[in-house]
Amino acid sequence: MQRSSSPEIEIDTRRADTVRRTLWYGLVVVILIWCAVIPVFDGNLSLYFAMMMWVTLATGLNFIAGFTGYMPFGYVAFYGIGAYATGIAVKVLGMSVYLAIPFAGVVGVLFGLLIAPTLRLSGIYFAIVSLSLAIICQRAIALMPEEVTGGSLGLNLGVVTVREHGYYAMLLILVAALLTASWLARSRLGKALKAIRDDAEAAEALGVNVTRSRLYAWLLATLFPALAGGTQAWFTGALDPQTAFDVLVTAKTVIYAMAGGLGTVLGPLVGTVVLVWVDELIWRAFPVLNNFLLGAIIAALILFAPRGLIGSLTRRYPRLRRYIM
Amino acid sequence: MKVKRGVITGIIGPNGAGKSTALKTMYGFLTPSRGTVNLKGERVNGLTPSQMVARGVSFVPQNRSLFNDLSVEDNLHLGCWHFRRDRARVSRAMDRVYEMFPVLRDKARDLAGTMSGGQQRFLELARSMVLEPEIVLLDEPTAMIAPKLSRELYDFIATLPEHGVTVVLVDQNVRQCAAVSDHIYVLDLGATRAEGSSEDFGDDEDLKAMIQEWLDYEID
Repeated sequence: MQRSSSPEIEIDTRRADTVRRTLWYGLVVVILIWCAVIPVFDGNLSLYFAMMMWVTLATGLNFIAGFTGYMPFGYVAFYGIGAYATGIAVKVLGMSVYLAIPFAGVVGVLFGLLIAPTLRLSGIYFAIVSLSLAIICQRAIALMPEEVTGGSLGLNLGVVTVREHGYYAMLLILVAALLTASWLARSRLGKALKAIRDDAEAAEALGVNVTRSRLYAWLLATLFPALAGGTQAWFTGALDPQTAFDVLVTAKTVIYAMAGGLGTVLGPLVGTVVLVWVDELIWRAFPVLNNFLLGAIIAALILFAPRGLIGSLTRRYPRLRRYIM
Repeated sequence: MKVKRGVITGIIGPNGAGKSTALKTMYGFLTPSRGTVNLKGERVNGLTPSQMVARGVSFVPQNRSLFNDLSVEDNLHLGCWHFRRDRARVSRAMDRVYEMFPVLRDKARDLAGTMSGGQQRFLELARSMVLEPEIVLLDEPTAMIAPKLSRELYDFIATLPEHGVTVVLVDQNVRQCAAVSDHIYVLDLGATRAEGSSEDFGDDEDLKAMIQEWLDYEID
């Protein structure tokens, strides 16, 4: 190996780090301000709420799917459990909704801890077991006493909630999810998780505790959908087993995250914002053909940019990696 | 099999002799069905690789073990995992390894997967060195790399005992392995057939004939 000193390279690297962080945190601040003032200037609160919720879900999914390679097809279970934990906390336990949301997060994480042994499985086996658990949760909630979960009809929280407060709660959760993602990407844990994803045996050979690292990623991935599900229940004021545990929630989350690029912090954010906006525009212009057109766009995206928008961009222009979180 | 401190011990033998299995057993990837593994008088059977790392042992496996989607720097940082919370030590270890392999500093931000096969092998070796190990287990370090890089790599391995590092080296390349090793074990079908220095082997016609047989087989 040839010797060479390279102070210029070090300076260049530091500059790239600074640019990357500035761009990312600048983007988070812009999102925060933009979403914070939307209720004042725009009446379409539901669209922006949905956007924030899907970005949160896609970012949460990225913690486990992007950083460790596990694809939880039953991801909606945590969203549904968060929604029901909030509903039960408010309606049955008489808790304030402001406390019910953190309570939902705790319940989601505890449920994640309970089913953490499924992480021993891998690939399609993990995905199938995860999906089965979501279906079991849906059936269990529907069969529980009506005075607790409202049975198959669900719960109505409308009288105890303020919609705008739910909107701002979602904004806070979104920002927390984005900051957690940027921390994870830069942290030792994030690097260890990516190493485990690439080659678990090699990571173990370096002393990385594979089981514990996967568990941390898993618990982070369970927290945010539970918070998002609880806040969705708060915002809409109603929940039922069919919509709270709808497998389409998982499907959309996976598509949005993959459209942007799993494994990057920016990918799920970009993928979700682009597809939610495209969905909205198509729906307005072609109310009959909207699903057909959206499906065609997603298929084209997966065909021509299989690593997602950000993943494909950095693959084509590797130097951009230095500026993208 | 005994490995002396501060020397290079080579393990040679034909395919299927159990060379890699021996290294993996020493490192805790495999549990021995018979016998024991002792490290400085301590029985280490059943210890995990992570626990072996904590005892100053590092391992470079035969197959590529780099994390291709991580940068060179991140790969090296993962080598510091055992003492990751000691920032001063991590910084010292990184400086030291960049001094040993200056080209890696230039490529610090490059993805490991974009490097050539030879550079990747050096990176793997560098990653095993950031731990500042007492013992390095090297499994076929020159497999599938160009002859020039192979020589450079062996030159580097030969210097490790000067830094107080004990090396256990497995290689199909008998000549190169014998040239750098202070002591050699010849394995066949999971058993030690012979041991000694490369000079000792020079006097043993039967052993020379056996090794020649493998070499002829490899050349063919």
